[in-house]
Amino acid sequence: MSAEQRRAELDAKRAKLEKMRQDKLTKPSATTPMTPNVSSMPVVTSSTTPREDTDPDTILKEVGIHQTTSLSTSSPSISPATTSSSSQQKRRPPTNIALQICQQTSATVSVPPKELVTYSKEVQTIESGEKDPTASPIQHDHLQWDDEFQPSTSGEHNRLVYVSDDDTMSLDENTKGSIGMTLASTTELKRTRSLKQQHKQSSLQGQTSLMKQELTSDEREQILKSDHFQDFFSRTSRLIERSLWESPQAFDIFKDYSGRDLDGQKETMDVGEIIKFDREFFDERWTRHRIVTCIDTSTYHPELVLASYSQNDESTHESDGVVLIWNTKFKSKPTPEYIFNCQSWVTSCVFSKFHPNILLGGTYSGQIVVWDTRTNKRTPVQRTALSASSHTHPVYCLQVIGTQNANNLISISNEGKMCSWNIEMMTQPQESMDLAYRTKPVAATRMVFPGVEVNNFIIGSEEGQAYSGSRHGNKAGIQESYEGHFGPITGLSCHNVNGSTDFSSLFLTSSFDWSVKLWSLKESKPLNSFEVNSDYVTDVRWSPVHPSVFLTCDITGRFDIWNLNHDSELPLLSTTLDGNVALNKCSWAHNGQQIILGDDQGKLRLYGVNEFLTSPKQDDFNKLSNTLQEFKRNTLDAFDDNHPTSVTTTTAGSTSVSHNS
Amino acid sequence: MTQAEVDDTLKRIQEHKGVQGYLIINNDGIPIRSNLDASLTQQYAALIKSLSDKARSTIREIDPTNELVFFRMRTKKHEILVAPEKEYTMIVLQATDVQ
Repeated sequence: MSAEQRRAELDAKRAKLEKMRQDKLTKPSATTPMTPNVSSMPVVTSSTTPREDTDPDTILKEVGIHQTTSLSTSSPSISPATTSSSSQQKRRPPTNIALQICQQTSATVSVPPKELVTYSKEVQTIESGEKDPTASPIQHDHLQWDDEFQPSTSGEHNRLVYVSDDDTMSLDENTKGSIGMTLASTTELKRTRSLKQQHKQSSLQGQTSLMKQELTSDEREQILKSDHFQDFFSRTSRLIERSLWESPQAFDIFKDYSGRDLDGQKETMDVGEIIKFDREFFDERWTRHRIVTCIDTSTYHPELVLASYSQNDESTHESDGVVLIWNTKFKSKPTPEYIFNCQSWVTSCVFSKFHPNILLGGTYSGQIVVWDTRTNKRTPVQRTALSASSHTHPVYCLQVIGTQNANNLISISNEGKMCSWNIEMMTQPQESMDLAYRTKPVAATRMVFPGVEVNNFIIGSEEGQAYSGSRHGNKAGIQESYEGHFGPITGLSCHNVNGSTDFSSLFLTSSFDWSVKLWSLKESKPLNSFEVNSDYVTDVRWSPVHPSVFLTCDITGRFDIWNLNHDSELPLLSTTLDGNVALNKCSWAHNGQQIILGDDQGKLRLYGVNEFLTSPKQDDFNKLSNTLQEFKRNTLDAFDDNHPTSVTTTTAGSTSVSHNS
Repeated sequence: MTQAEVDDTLKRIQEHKGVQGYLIINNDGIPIRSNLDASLTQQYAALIKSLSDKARSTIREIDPTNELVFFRMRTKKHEILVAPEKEYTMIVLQATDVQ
């Protein structure tokens, strides 16, 4: 049964084959996909026809049945058909075969060279400069996107190094392909060499300049002297120095085993400590043998401290006037941020409150100079003229008053002249006023405009009196005098704390008569006198944040912090510095958290102040009012008892604040 | 700044703790001043210049209004501080110090 079925199948297949062959005869194009091998065979060898005969047999054999007898009978029947078809196919194939040949040959040849390339990679680097630059022009096609890469291929050494970097950077196939080409064919080598020459010409400028710089040191000198270089150098050397100083601490980040400890680096003070030494500023070249004459802190950059110094008697070749800006932010950098010079020594200096880059200095000669931090120059950008209309005596005090849009610089000199200037135009003062009290000129040593006042001011003089006056108005000039000191007034400070109660009429003065006195603008006699010092008191300053705290310093190197709410007779803290140091100036940082002391050896010392002195409570204001009441009562009692001294000894009003001596 | 002050500042930088050397190059990558030996100078000049250019172009590409101002590379052995500018670049090598 199955055999019969198979026979039927075979017959069907035979019929199909015949049909196909007849189709081939009729359709010329249909044959090619079907019989590529079959048609090529007869062309190659003439004796392939019997093979063709076997093919249907093989096809049939694939079915699995060897029916040689029936097949052989059928095959001869088929064979004439096949031979005829093959002969006919012979005609057609040439065209087909021709096409096919093309395809095949192209496919076979392309493979080998690529494989060769991969193995030659190591060889390529050893071949060094000559071959690599030949490759490099091609590589530069990638790099030309970024112009900055081109110039750096100057110098053979650099080229070597540079190219090896690019091998890793650029696309693998392309570089390999390019190098493979140079290795494979000399013609291509020549081509790349010519490219190399072109590249050489294009980068000729860079190379010749390289050759120049390497040879001549003159050009180097020229560059070093050029303005551009100086600009660059002052900027970047500052950057580098700051980062150099910061680096050692930064490395701790990596070394620390428990990184949490870093946050605690800011050492907080013990509760018992009132002040804590922070650092000192001293420059060997610029501040040695000079006295600190004035200190100011910037409102724009609270970490900057400005200090002016007197002349250096020891060395005559250095300029007389030195003003330095120090940076408190970078803990370890010991050098000043900016150094400025001028011809005569600076007696007072101030940051311009409304111009972030301008500093002003008043000098011993009476000139006022303006420095600008934007320029690279160390000398002043503006100087006032030495004339009768401006100052001819030392300018002991400068202050910038007004607002952002309308501001003036007020200066006062020892001859009693007060001038107001416009900072942009310093050739002539806007107005000048001779201060005289009852026809006697006032030799002013200190001047303060309380708070944001622009009209009323207070002046301290060499004779020991303090005066108040106003610039404009009906009574322009000195109006009232405050007598109490027996020696020149060295320090003057107005109360300037914003709080619930207004104490802006209070001011303190310090003098060579060993005392510090507290005054009110309304009273011509001092409210209180603090006499704990045993030598000249050189400066006094209210704290900018706490209403009852102030700082004094004297010539024995002693400085005191007073808190009137705590004790009005004795200072809260009294410290004397070691060594034979005399303090000349003192100042608070704007946030009231640091004090700065300047001495006569050119050193600036910074101390941090404990928190309880920097954050006042509401209570403190009230306490101060009470204290002032106390003082008033004491003075009244003194007045009543006709005692010449201002400090009372009566038993009236024995509160906890003041105790009787 | 005069020439003497430039020298002074460079000396100060050099004498700083841990500083192994410095070099100032122009924007062609040619060293102008250096206190390293010649081959090391050339190497650093070329390598750091290309790195600095790459860094600068990276920053520019990410944000065209931004620009590279300073960068440091901390390695196991030392730290390289680079201050690139339009015309010149200053490079300082500082050893890591164990304090």
